[in-house]
Amino acid sequence: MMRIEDILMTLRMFQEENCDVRTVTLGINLMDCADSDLEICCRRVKEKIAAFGGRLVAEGKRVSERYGIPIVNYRIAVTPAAWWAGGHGPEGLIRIAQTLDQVAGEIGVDFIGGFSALVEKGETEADRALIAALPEALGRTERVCGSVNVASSRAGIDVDAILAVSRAILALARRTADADGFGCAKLVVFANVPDDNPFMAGALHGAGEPECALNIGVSGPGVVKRAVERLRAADSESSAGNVSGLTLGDIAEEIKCTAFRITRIGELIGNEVAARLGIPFGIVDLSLAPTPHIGDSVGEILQMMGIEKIGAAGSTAALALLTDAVKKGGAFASSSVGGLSGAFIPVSEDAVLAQAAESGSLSLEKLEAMTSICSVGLDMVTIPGDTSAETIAGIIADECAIGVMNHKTTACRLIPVPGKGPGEKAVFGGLFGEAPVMPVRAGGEGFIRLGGRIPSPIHALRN
Amino acid sequence: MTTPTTEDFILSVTAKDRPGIVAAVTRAVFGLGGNVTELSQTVMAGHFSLILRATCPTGLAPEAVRTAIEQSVPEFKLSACVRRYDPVPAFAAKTDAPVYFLTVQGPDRPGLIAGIAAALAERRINIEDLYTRSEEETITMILQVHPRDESAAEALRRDHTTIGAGLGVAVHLLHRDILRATSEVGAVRRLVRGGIRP
Repeated sequence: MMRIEDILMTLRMFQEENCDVRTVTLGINLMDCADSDLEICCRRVKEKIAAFGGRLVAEGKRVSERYGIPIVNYRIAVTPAAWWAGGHGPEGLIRIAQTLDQVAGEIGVDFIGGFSALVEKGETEADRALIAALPEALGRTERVCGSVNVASSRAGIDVDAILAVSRAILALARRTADADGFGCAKLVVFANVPDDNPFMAGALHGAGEPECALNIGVSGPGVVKRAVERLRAADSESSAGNVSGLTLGDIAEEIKCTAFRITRIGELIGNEVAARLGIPFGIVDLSLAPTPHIGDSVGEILQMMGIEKIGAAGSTAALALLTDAVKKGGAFASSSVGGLSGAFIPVSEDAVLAQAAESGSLSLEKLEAMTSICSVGLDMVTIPGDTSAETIAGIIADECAIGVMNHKTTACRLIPVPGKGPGEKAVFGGLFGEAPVMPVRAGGEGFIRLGGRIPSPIHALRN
Repeated sequence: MTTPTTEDFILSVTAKDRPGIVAAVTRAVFGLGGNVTELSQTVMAGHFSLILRATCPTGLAPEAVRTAIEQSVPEFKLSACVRRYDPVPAFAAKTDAPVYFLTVQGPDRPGLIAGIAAALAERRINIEDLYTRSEEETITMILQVHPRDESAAEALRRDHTTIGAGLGVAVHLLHRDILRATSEVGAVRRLVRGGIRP
């Protein structure tokens, strides 16, 4: 028997509320591509990625067409390059990045992630080479994304690595100065990096993952916003001017049910694409991923919950409610939840957050507080181009501290905008949007210059 | 080879709705020595409609079954139609052909349902279930449709918005598995394993 309201509600998710599968990301292990001969290494990389990923876009499009569900992006995540290519030095790694870029273009994916190193407890020569190569590797290529994990709850925070990466960020910003430092949008600095994150720029295929796996990133801020909006409208109608019966608990319940539906779509599409490719299905990442389009914003959800100005008192609590409800609904929908799974708050990619930053209601400090309960961290945040490496390192270290002490993933995707300062705007275009340059507070450089590693917290000793 | 002792009938019954119709019809079938094996019933605009399949002893004429039902409670004024069950389907979609919900929304006008149905028939697409609701000047139709094969499904995916535009309504498609995934609590993997197509 047909359930009319269910049919119309599900249809509305796609027709009116911007629900889509944000990314289908194929993770591929490249450890067996390592070779002391750079040419052989590059050839193996191209062959393996083409072999596993060659049909990714075609099969994804078939599934998208069959189900009528938009799939926005197709991406590849590979084993951290420092592990299998770091021995070739910075110049060799730049060549590796160009190879990744080329094969990604040939198979039709828009980004390839995994130009990465994990250095939370110290750096190898290979790690140093990769960090040194980052500005040129990401600056010269179109599709390659990189990440560096500089902290973990088990190892602590590697401040030396943070400072090295901060210098790389500044160099990358200068190299892409004509695009407002856009190259930095392809570089993420992590604490507690997940091994199966499908979202860029931080996607990689980590240790413990199978030979390859298909991971899904769903979207749906618009669906959640409309669900809360309908709930509030129904409450207004039923209360007819009397005291509202609606509580935050009701909103959490509505978001949870909506997250269930969104996640199930990702699970369905992911399973089917994986089955068609003959590879294992990995995870669904529950993160609500906004775009600059109106009606596709995490900020709008908070506004619908009553936070008129993002950054106002109550913003962090509202985000906590949202993130938790999304996780609860998603966890029931799928037993394959992974990645970051929360709510992204990338400033330039969310029009409402960008407006809040521009108006001054959302400061960098408040944003940092909100990242303590969102899925990632300071994401797509533009800062003055003349910010020192030590100050950038301090911002990253702060964000890492939140992640390390709370046993969660945090990250920074900071973009120093060359030649621009507070009050000016960086424009990236497309899904990357635009954002005002946010002022930063210097004065902590002496702490960073001490260097070394901040030890892991006492509650890391769990055994 | 043994001679069958039973045969199946397909019955449809309509009447003005009131309590007791299902009891009257099924009692009549039971009185003929029959057993109801499938039944679906609905009420629309105060009118009752039922279709059932019953296994009865061989030798019964359809007309005898019809008479027994219509005369079971004369004041109900039941109107029955009875035919022998034919197991050979007139239409069989391929097992790998997807099932869709097709929604139609827009201004109501005479001939709209006929227009949609004709467009589907031309494309070898069977309507398995149909619901319509009119509110003021607006109509909402939801059709569960089963294309004969993948090429018919492809034609539907390609043409559905054009069909709607030609009739002045918005037509959308929703794959049945999407609805099941978002509305049922069972594991999605079962949907895919049971339905993966090349």
